[in-house]
Amino acid sequence: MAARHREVAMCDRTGEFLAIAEGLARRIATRPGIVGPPRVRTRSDFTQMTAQIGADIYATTQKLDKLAQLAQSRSLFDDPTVEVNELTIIIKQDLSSLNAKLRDVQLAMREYRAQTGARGGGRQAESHTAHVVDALKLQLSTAAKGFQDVLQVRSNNIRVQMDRQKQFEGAGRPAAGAMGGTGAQCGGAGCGGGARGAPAPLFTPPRAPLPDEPAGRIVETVIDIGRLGGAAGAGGAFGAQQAQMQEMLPSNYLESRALAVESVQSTIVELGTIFQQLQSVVAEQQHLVERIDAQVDETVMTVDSTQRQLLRLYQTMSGNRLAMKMLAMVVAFMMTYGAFFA
Amino acid sequence: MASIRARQTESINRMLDLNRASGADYGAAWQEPWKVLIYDRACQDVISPLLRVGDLRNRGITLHLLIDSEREAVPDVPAIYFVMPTAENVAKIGDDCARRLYDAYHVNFAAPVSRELLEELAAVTLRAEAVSQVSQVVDQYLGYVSLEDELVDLNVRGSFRRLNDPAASDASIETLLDSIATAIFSVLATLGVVPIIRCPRGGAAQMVADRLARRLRDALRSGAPSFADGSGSSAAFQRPVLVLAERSADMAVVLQHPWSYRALCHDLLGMRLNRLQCADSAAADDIAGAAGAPNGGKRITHAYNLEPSDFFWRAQAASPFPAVAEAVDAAIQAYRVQVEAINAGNANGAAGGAAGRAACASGGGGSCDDLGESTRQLQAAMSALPELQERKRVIDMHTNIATALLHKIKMTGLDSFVSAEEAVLARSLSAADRATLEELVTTGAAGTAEDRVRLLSLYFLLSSPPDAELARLTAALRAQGADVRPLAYLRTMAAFRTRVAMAASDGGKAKAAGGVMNSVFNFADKVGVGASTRSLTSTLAANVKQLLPAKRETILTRAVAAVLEAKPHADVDGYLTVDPRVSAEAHAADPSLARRGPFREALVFVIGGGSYLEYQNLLDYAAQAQGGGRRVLYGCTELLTGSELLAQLAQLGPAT
Repeated sequence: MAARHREVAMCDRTGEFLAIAEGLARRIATRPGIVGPPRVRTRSDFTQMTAQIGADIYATTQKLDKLAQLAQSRSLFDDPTVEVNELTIIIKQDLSSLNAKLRDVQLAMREYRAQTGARGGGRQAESHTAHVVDALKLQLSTAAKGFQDVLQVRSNNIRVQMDRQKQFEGAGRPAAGAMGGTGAQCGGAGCGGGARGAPAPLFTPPRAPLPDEPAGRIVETVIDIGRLGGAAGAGGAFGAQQAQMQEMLPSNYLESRALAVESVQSTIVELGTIFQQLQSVVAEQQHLVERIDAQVDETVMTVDSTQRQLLRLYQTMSGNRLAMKMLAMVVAFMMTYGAFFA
Repeated sequence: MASIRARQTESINRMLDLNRASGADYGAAWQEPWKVLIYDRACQDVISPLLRVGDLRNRGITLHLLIDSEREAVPDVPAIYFVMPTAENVAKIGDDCARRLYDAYHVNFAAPVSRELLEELAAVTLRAEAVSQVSQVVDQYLGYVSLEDELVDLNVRGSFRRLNDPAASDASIETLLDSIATAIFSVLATLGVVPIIRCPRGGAAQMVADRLARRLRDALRSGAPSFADGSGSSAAFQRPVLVLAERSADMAVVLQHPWSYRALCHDLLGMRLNRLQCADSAAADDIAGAAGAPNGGKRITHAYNLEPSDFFWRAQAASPFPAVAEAVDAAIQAYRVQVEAINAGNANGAAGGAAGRAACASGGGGSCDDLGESTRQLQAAMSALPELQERKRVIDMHTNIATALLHKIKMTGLDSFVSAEEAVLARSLSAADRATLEELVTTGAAGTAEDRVRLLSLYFLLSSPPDAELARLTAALRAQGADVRPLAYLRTMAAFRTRVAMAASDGGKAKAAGGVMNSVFNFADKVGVGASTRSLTSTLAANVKQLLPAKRETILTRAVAAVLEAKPHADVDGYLTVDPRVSAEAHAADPSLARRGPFREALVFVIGGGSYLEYQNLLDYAAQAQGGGRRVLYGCTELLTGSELLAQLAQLGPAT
């Protein structure tokens, strides 16, 4: 499309149409108010519910977009773990409640069909409802698929972080050990008590920017701390504190990460069940690549075969008619015989 | 400039969104998410090549129905009508309102609706007491079919016959010209351009040009938003030129037997609206062999859609048939290689994965990564699978089409006609060529009677043979039971034209670019059809393969080139020039006000029908034009095959 906004060519003649209708109505002057304000529409449960679900799916998709952004950002200052978890839970709830609502819709669909049946509707109303439900299912499964992808990305990221963490652990421990007992003693004696007393900030990676790499990623920063700690290990008290941080950080951090991975994976498994319920939709996507005139060809074919069937029926019927005629003649003969000769 | 296809799709999508402003909040679409689409035959043709059922569903269309099909009530749902403005359609809409079929009625006319019809619509809806349910009445400028990015079908059937029929009433011709002008105006409105119009004087083209200019001036005066380009903006300097041409200027290009893939699909397999049906020969053979023809010998026919998005079609549509056969084989080979590569990768991955699992279980730390690696490979293979499947589908489709074409070519001996016509077109008929031509026409060994009439017509149009020879050949054809009325009509037409304009005859004699074709084709050694489904090239006889027609520009292409490059040209110099931005009065006072080029873009419309061959020729010109960057859009009232044009000519010919 062109860069500039372009008006699509069309000409709205609703006003002209209404004016003509108004004029005609006045001239006929049968019933005033025919061309009044649009009547208040009463809508069936089915229509209302499906519209609501559609809007909800759209809202969920928007949340999902936000989550995808969060899951990708791994900036140092703004670790999104909390938000990601919150959003994950919200979206998970959304999806499962939508899934439940879709089941309710199928009930409303039956009601709607009964209602349309009463109003002379039939097959077309049925396929309308079926298509509505299909469309919703498809949208829901697309959203669920998107959610799954985001979670996959997230769990991969966490796993990468953990791997790095392990490496860092392996490299960091000997350095701490080489420092001798000072660090450990100090930790045991309570000079690191401040750190232990407030473990919460340690769960999340350090927020203070490091001078050499202010905008680095969390993972790299963690390793940097390790290196810093190892290098400064000989440097006395500061080094000792750092070393202690290392000791604390990995275990807590790892725990939280492991939990995160677990929750993400359990969510993926839960999504699997939703997928199973929606599977039938994905299977029947084939016909959607058809063109609208393909149906006409099919209709022509169906009409042909119907005609053939009718023809066959007609032939059997005419065969029967011959038999009926003969029967009638026999009866007539018998009656005349009975009337005149018996 | 976006292509006409993209623009038209955009417009249709907006209509399906109930004509909401494109910038409107998406959430608003949830007020009325589900809709029913109702269209007539003409509008079905408009939508079919552009949107699939899935696209409609994505737009919330749950049902799509023909207006004259049996329709039932679907309560609570708004209906979108997309129909031509005709009295029948308006009556149908009134019926639907009376039967209370839908909740609301959004009426979209594919062409501007007249005041009388609008009044009629108001009357019928009033009678049905449903005026307040008619939510919208909109004129859409969508009454044409965009088949490709540069190809438009104006969907006016039988236009050549209707324009040239001496018995036609003035009113019917007026209606026809109006509908052609409306369709072209719709294309311009969709594209949002006001071109400078060039056309030959004194014919249907000029009458269409007058109507078109009047409409464009009206639209500009009323400040229609679709033509919002101010004349002062930079866009004004790049205005395209609209060339209106008439079919009668070049009949030969439609009657000629084609040899390129797309044109063959049209001519032999009856491709219409990018869709064709042909017998699936491979499947038919297999079934006949395996199950003893349970269908009673009925061949399985398949419908194929040839979309511009199809990679093979895009690459090969213009290629001569033998090259297409080669390309099909090459595509199959490439596909096999790809599949094998993936299979090999998976085998390695699976082996590595098994080893990794063992090592992982026995406690080795490092090899656990191999497991992840093989999983990734498997995932890559899985994600490549849909793409491969799609590739396979496309290749299978083209294999079947090419096989069907080959079958037809062999049955009719089409290549002998193509080579004979090639000699005629090159205007260098040797004695041997003449002998072949006469043999083809008189013996009736190859091709249908229609093929022979086409060959003779071409011979007559391009070589103007002596009357005696023509009479002899015509008599021979008549003896075979062929319908020779088209020839008679062509003769009267030619006689008329020479009387009217002697000058135009020599202006654009073809310059044969290629050598004379070796026209000796021996069809005694026919190749078995059964084998042809496997490898196409191997079954193409060696002498068929050499048939690569020389490239020569058609009469239309030369005219368009002259207009675009502002070069002197015997015909084009006499063309009328109309600039709709200049008022009619100013124009009459000073005809030189209109700019005469050069131009970068041409919109070419042929009145009376066009052909894929002519279209392709224009595309080739645009691709190779000096200075580069020329763009051409080809439109015609309808795409004609040779036989369709013959049928129209036959109706015009003397009723003997």
